Amino acid sequence: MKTLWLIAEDESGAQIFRTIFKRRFPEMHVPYILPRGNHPNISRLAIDIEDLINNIHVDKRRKADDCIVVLHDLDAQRRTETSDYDKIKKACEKAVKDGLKLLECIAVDEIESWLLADSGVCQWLGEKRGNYDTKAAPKDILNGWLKRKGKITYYSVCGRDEVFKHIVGDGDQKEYSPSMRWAFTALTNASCTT
Amino acid sequence: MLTRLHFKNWRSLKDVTIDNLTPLTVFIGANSSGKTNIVDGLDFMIKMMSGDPTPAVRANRGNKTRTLNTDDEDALVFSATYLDPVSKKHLTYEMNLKIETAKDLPTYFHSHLCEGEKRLFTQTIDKFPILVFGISRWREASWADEGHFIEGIDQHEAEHLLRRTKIFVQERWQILGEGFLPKLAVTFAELGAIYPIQNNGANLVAILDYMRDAHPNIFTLFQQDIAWMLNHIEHVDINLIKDQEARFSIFENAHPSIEAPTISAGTAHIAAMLAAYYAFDFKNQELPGLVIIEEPDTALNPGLLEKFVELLRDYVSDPEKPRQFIMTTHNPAFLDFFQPEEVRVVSRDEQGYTHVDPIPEHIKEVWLDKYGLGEVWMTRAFGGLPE
Repeated sequence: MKTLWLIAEDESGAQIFRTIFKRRFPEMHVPYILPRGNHPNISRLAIDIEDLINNIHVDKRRKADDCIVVLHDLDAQRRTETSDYDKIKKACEKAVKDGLKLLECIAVDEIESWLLADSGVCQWLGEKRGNYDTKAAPKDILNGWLKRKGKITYYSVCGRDEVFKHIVGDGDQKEYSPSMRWAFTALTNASCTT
Repeated sequence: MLTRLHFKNWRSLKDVTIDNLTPLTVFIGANSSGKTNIVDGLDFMIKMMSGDPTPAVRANRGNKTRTLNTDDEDALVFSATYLDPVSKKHLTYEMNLKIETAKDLPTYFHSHLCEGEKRLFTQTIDKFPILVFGISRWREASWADEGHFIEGIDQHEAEHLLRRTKIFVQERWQILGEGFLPKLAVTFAELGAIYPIQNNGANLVAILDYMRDAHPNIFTLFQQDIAWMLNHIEHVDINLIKDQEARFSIFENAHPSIEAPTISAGTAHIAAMLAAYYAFDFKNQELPGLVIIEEPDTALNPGLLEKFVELLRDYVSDPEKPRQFIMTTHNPAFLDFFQPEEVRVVSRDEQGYTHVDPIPEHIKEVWLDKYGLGEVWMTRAFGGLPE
């Protein structure tokens, strides 16, 4: 079984990416690791990124042609400074230079926009799928849809699990999520999916 | 000291070997990963060691003991390897057991003792008693087969090795199981045995009462340790009220002459764990002793965890009294005080079978000069967390 190693900024981001990826490539194995702390986030990822990459780099289970994905949100709508993002970018570039097959996948503006573009999730919620990459706070939009559906909140593990059940993984089709399309095209081009 | 365990066809442990056990070993893993099955497997071994596996089989609901997708012909295999401190030899005692599913009864029991690859002793029982309804006891069994030593070996030495091995497994393993919480006030009728500690810690008061009366030096050490762990305690005692109850009592620094009105669950936990350790010294203290504790950190304040592990390290460092602790935990704060080689990660595969793995070597070089092991555990860098 081929492996794609995932480094994500938080648990829900890792779960969304992994669920989508597994829908598309069910034969792939996708272990993930997160930054330290009970509530990992982009700042934590920036602190730990080198250790996280190194952890996978030296893991004896990793094969030379396995891909590593570093996944995080762009957060352009709400971030006030870029140093965390710059640090992550620099660490990823260094890893590539060192010979690792690593891709930095950036969800615009949050990875939940990939869910708002997903036919399964949207059909289940009775909402119109679309390109939410440029909209502010897709997480809140999704939460609003869920509330309309019936008192589930996205900000709970149960609520998120319910959403994940309905993921089809087709949010990268034509006019929907460009950031997801970029990520999956890059993964395919880099032979990370076969 | 126990160095290796092997389980086959035991509950979720389809074929699991746990090697290179250390004086302190901690099993971590998600809920239902199989940690308790390991502990229960050790408990099952103690019970089988008596030579009659029937009560152990029945207590474990017979066919529920076996891994799914196995049948009556698949033997349960339990094997323990330990370093005998007297002969300095690595000895392995293996037990094979077949069970008839329909009756929840053993049909075949084979055990043997090996030194390395060399077999010293073997025993096979394949005639088991039949339960006769209406008769309150088992019909006389064919337990006469006490086994035989292999020809051509030093039989005298082999006898000693077998006896010590049986004592080690049967008498020198003490288990505090899942959710243990000793009662601190019991009637005399409820006191229970003075050794070993019961799985739920129920006989703690009996152990401490005996310790105080028969081994006051050991009781003093116990007192010192519990007071060191919980520095509000001045001393502890066992209070006997004639014809009423026996009670574990604590006296606090604030009011050393007045018995404290209540005792917390954490104090009870600590008392049970320390009593299990000190009870080894009642007899044959030079023999190895193994304490197996499920979630010792339960009810302990996070600020006490380091002290507790320090105490355990002190206990296992005495060359005159070889001691060992095997524990389970869900607590990353507890894990922070262990070395990676002391930790085993328990997980289940897609078929539901348990695997037990060491922490990968790279974890040490990547993380541990900067961060605690528990903190790294939560990054998912070495498993042992729910999916």
